[in-house]
Amino acid sequence: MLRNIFLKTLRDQMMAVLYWGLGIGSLAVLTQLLYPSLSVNDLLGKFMGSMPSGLLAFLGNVKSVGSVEGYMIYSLLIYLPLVLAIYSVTAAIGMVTAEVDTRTMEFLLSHPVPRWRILLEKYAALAAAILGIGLLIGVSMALGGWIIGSDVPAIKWILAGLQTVPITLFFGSVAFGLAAAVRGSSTAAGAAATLAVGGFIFNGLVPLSAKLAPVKEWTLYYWYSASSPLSTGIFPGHAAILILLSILCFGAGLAVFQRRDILP
Amino acid sequence: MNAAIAIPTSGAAPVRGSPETSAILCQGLSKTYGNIQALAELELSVPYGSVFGFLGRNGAGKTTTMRLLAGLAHPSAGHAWVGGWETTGVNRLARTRFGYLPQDPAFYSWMSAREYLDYIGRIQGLSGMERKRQIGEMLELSDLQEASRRRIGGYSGGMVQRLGIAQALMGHPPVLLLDEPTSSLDPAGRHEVLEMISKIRGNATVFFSSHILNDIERVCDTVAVLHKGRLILVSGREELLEKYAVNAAELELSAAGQGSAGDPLATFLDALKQLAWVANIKREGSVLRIMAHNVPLAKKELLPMIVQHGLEVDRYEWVRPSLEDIFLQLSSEE
Repeated sequence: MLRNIFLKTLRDQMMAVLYWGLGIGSLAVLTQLLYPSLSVNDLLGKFMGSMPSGLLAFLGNVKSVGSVEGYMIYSLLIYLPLVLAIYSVTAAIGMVTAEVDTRTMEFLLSHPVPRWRILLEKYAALAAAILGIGLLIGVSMALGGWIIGSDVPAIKWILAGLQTVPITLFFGSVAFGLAAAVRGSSTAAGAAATLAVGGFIFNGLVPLSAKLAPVKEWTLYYWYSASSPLSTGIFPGHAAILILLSILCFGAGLAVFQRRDILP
Repeated sequence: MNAAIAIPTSGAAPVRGSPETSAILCQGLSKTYGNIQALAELELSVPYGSVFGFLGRNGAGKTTTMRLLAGLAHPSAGHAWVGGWETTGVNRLARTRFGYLPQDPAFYSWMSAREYLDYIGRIQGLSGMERKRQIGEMLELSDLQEASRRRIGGYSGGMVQRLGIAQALMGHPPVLLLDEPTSSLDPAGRHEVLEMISKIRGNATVFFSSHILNDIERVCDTVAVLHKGRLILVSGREELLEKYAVNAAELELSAAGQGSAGDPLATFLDALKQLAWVANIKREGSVLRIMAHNVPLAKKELLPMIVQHGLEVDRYEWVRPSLEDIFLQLSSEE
């Protein structure tokens, strides 16, 4: 596992990936296990039907909460990126700022390895770790679906878990890019957290106001939630936009890192 | 331009040089952080094969210089070459020419020394065989063979520094940049690290920054003094000590044999006072402190005179200042 910076960084993340993936996966399974009792007599459907339309819109306009797919979107998947952002932001900052602060980065940079390669391998490890968490969540949901006897194909559950990857990667990339560009961790953590929380709130507010309707398709969470393997199907373009933005954030951070003074 | 006091040495420390002939060459190297001038127009040439002491108080600009040389920071002005390659540019191959040990180095505490050196070897692109060979060599040099499979987190300060030097030597760079390698160590750790540096002598040029003068005096053959971001002196160590030597000899004498008539020491003193090179003499019992106007002449005539007066020499030394004395004098002059 220590053959290169990518594998070493991935090894550093291994336990975190397992804890996050299996932890949220367990939560997903638990949520699924509650579904059979809540779906009796369409209790959830009636409960949702009693909610104001504005609140429903804020919660993502889930069409049919009576189905297990709608139930899982409403009760877990809609806010999962917020939770996963905690991992991706802290991991990204740990990979760059923490290595600079503890001075281990100085050793790496003093050897004949280009700066871009060090950063690229670390970023690739971040992406792989996020992918691993998404996969573990997806597999857990497939397991939960099987336990409750759902007729949703396992691949749909797995894809639903993987659907969290692009937006989680985006928040991680914002933190990673800023950590690479700016000394200290507060800017990176603050900006990424603001985007994650602010984006979530803004996305919920857009349906409530006609004036905000034109920007509906230009919010981060829209690109995450407007397509779902469990409801509308997958729109690869949405994931592509998030991945492209992620790469841009990484690239911008890299450009600054190439010329930056490394000071603990 | 920064005017360093360049003391001519026997070719040991040329102040002028070229990237091809100098292990390290700085030309007008400057660094400012905001309004603070951390380093001002450093002109320095370090010859190949030397163990070069880079001396200065805390905050003098030593670490800034090291960072600029290692390419970790970018100069506000000027250029630096290490091993013939410009390290203030962006060419990563320049980093094949030096190994670097930062001040207070930190390692991945869960790794062992062997794993870490292997990791560094892989990053450098060394082949499996070469990596294995160099790891063995570095563990032996750093005396870490027995601890090589233990977690670095359990190492003493001296062991960590020795591992730091070992990793810097992976790939056999011709120049070693060591930033305060002994400053945070206890006496035993300092001894170990200085021993290791002594072993490296002849295999690589060592550029060694420190504020601990004893360490510099012990291992370095050439010394540069940095003060408030400015280079104020470059010299061979011996030449420096010679230049700042106090013109005084201390002698502890006794009369040779038994039954010497009168006080032979008093007779000797009377004879000394007649000499033109003698400036002053102080006597405390059998100990004489002789100040000289002309040290070379004094060195030539003193011992024959002692023999001539039938005295035995119990102790004879020309008083040498310590590097610390010189450094404090230079610092206060600035």
